[in-house]
Amino acid sequence: MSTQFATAIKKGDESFEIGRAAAQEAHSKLGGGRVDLCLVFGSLSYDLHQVLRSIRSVIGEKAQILGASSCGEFTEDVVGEGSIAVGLLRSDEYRFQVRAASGLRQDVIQVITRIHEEFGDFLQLEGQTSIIMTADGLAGNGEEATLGASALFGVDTTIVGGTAGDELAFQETVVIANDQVLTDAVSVCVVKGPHSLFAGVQHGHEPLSETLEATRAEGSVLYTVNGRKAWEVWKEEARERAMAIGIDVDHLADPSEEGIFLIRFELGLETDAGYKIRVPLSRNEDGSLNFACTIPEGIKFRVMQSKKPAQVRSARRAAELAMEAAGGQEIAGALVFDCVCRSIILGKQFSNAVAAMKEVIGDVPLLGFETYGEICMDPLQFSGFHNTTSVAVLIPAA
Amino acid sequence: MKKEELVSGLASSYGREKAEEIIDRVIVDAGLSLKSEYSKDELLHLCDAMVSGSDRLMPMIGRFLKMKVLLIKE
Repeated sequence: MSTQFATAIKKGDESFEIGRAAAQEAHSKLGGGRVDLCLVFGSLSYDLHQVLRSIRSVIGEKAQILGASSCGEFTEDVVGEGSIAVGLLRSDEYRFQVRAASGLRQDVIQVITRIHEEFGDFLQLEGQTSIIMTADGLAGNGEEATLGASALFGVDTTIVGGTAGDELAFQETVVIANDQVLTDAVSVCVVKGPHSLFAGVQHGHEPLSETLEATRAEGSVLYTVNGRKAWEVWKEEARERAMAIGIDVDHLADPSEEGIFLIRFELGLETDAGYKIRVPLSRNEDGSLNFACTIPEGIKFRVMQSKKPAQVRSARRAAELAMEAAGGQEIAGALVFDCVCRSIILGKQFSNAVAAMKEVIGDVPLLGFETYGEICMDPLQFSGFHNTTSVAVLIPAA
Repeated sequence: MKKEELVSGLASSYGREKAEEIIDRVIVDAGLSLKSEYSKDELLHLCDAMVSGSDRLMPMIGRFLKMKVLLIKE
């Protein structure tokens, strides 16, 4: 097999040691030797600079590193939280390069343009181009970053990835690019090789409310719905259903509880292919809501909900779509970018969703993290940023 | 490209109803007439109108769409 992938996940107290232990275990599974790409997803409870230093000490100076802070991490063996998950790739057929830039909130076009320029001649290498991308999960412009990458790297480029999380603190998220830990940034890994990465995306939500209108919105902030404060409307529309699942919308103790409520009741846009989901992450003092991406003023939408079985079914469906895209191609491993909402909704049953994906994909190494947004560019739409979805990505073996 | 494809593509960011309204407005802003299908040159005008769009998302969609349009063979 010309491409190999191995994973490990560790949890503990000491950042340097956890990073080293995870990298060593994955490296051992890989059979030692050269590492071309390292993917790292981890909790911000660790010093990620220390984690990277220790991983680097195991994988060597030449390996490219891409990653993000997360809300939960998992491999084919373990569903964890508060951990460091590492995936190591070695390939004779595929080439990897990681670049990043910060300043996402101020000028997304400039950030993506700078990254694109830094790849230089690497983009001219023969073969298909795919991109694995991580971005700040709180910058509020994941859609713009994805569209910008698609426009610059090529509209036929497969783009997958996720936006970083911070375990529902909604304070700060970071991305990892080689030895850098960056906030307000995008990290991009260009993959060049004989095949593109194979991807599938699916959500498991259904309408809860009647149609509503975003009567005032600016950037990623939704101020009013049907002329009333967005937060009040959200509580009103979801109150009954929230109570049924143990959430009292009138007694939410802190921003984290508010975030958990909002992430369970998202905004759904009606499209020709069902509903496209946009996730509210937090509320402001003035009753407006902060979303993970731009909410255009005037859109018509519904407040959405999801039930546990639908979350497991949609994870399975994402894996099935990726397998269909692979068309029988041999697979070296899988990446999963999964909205944090799935683990909130499923709780301890989240492992059922991972198991459902594994049943479809088969016995290959799998690495995933829980995100604030997922990236999977569908060439038929003018949109590649998703919320509340599972994005399943298959790495071709050759 | 058919107007319907434009509406369908935009619906993923704006919802179906708003996407129809936006496309009609952008077509008029670009100085074009409302019809079911547009040529490559007309689409490039539409993309330029989108790039100078009023909300934060539309310029990115305009740039993205322009790249797609440039790949269309006449």
